[in-house]
Amino acid sequence: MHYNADTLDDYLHRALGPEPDADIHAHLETCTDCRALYDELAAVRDWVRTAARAEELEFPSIIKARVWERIREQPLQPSFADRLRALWRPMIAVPVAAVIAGFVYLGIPGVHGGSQSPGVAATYLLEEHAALASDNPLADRGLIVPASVVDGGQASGLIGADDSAPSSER
Amino acid sequence: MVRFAAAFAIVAAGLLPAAVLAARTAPAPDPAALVRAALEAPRHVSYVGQLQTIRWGTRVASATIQRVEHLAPSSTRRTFLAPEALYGEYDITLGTTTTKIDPKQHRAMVSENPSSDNAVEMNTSIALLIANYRAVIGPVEVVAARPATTVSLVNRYTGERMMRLWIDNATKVVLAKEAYHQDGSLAWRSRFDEIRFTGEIPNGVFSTTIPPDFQQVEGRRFADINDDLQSSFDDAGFKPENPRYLPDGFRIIGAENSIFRGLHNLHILYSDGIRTLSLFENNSDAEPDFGGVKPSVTHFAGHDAEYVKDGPTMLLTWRDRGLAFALIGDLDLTKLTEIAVSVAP
Repeated sequence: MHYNADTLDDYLHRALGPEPDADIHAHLETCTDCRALYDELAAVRDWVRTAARAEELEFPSIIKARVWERIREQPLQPSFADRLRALWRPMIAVPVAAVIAGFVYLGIPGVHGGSQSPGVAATYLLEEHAALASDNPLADRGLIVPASVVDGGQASGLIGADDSAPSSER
Repeated sequence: MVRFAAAFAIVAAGLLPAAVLAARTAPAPDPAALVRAALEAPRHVSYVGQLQTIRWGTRVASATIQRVEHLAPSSTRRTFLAPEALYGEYDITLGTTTTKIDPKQHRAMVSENPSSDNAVEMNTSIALLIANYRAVIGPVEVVAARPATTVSLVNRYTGERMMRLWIDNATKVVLAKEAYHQDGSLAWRSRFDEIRFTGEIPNGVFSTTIPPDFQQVEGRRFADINDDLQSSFDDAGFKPENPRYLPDGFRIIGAENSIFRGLHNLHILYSDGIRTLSLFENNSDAEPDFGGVKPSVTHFAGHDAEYVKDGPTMLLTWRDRGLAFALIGDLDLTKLTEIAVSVAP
């Protein structure tokens, strides 16, 4: 008696119940044909996993965008404006003006013709994807965007920003 | 009396092995039928429970805990209990309408998604799932103090287990599920910590009346994703491009148009029954706005592309011949890039 590839694959992925799992374990000790097929399946699995891991890279989460938006939305403190005025002296103002001029040149579209207006927000695309993907009955319900991270009808992140936890992977 | 008891004991002792044998030889449930029953269970089973969801990124994880109140067939309230920043927020879904309430910011948002309560689409999803995944029944385990049958969903093309379900033996409701990356690592998990099956849920739980001092924000009004594909393509305002390559088992399941900052976006959705892939196209030829996030750069077929990862989800963007493209899905960069290469006009 020999096991077929599907059954050995299930055994490999520990998807079988205790009894068939034990039976196959014992069988593989004595059957060279099944052992060879099992080793082949295991090698394929390992190869797929290695290939997948090789492409796994570390990147910041889109949620950072929302954190920064929130930070930028905070109103400026009046005392900050007062302090800024106090700094407005020629010795400081001249280099500051030069830096601002540089930013204007490089940052405003059309001034030097090298950049374009921003396109669609990445967060918007992610929310669109999440909303329609959640129609799948097996979807990750954690994808659902809470109200607090939705801004003006446009989503701005997958999960609410909480700077007490590492946000880079949220 | 003693004689009667002795006779009863003898009969019972004789029947016990037969009962055990009968239990052992009971026909095993059809795995695909069990999965179908599980996915359809919320249409006719009501419950109240506490659901924990964990999503793993490359290094760290994020978790939420929600109280879920579900009244069959299609009324559901989810109230966030954790993390603290979301505590008290809730959303109520009644059929195709979802109302999100944020009590802390006194804000409410109502959105409409016709696809979310569509029996035909449910059947299509299940058919696609069963076509692409082999269901393998495993041992019975206990979840939320209830016996549940485990079912692995193994991709027929790669042989990899992509998802595992814990299906309540009595009601067929999915008590827990785990999704896996292509390399076998865990992508996300949801599991009921506790659950009680009851239809005795007060009507007030599903009240969507928005308090007068709340700001009402207009949510998205999604078109029916299964509308005629050709009309969606025609409405895009440009000639859309389709990938010539998709991973095995994926197929197009719909398309819709939306407008963001005045830009028309065509959204084409693909699925293999478990995983979902989105392709966005617009003719702005503008770089996407990543906000404060610095995307990483990659190159393929002469294109500069950018990508970011959010938990298990990858977003890849690039531009080509006046069109801006974005691919989103729970696939690795290699797969997304292969698809992107095949999109090129």
